[in-house]
Amino acid sequence: MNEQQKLYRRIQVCSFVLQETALYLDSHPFCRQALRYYQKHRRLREELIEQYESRYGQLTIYGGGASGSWHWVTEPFPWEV
Amino acid sequence: MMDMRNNGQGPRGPIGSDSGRVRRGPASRPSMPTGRFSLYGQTYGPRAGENGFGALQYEPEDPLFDAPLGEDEVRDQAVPIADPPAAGTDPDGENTAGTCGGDGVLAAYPLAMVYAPDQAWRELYEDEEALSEGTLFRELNFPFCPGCRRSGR
Repeated sequence: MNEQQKLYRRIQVCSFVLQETALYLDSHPFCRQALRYYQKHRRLREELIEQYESRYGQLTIYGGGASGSWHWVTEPFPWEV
Repeated sequence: MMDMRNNGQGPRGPIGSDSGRVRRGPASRPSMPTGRFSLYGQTYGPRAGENGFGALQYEPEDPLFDAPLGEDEVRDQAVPIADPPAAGTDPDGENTAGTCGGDGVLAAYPLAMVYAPDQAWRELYEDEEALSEGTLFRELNFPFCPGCRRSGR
């Protein structure tokens, strides 16, 4: 697994944990521990995505355009890496 | 939420109620099922101590759970029938114990209702493990896989 794949995997892992936490919060909307866990992973996911996109280009269509070209179609799609 | 306010006049008063108010509490809570079940002679589900089931007696620190009730306030709860009819004898006096139903762990509850225990925030997997197990919660990991030797951890 190269560095890009490792980072992509970490984003997937973090997204899954966020999804699970969100499902829990649906039935326990005032659980402070779960809310803290959600915030921690939401921030981590943002950081990871920022890292990924600054190094390897767009992860989604919402994260690009700043470099002067549309990497979404000029580079391999994230799932092809 | 179901309104169970009936001034305690119903055919079966809620267990654990005092002065007409429905309270949740240890006295009204039945013992938890173990998650194990038998089908066609084989037993499935987590063994004691596996899958966090040993911790099921734990009372969650949920501010809503223990919050004092206001005047005339009631809470939803599964209300066991105070004195369920005994299973084990049919109208002809034949012994049916263990073969014709009616005597499981939820015997004291009304039929045809569905109950789901309240999940608690505990027994989390580490992030990596959560994705590979398919759940963040050890208590929700039920590898229903007869013959497999996965531990569920």
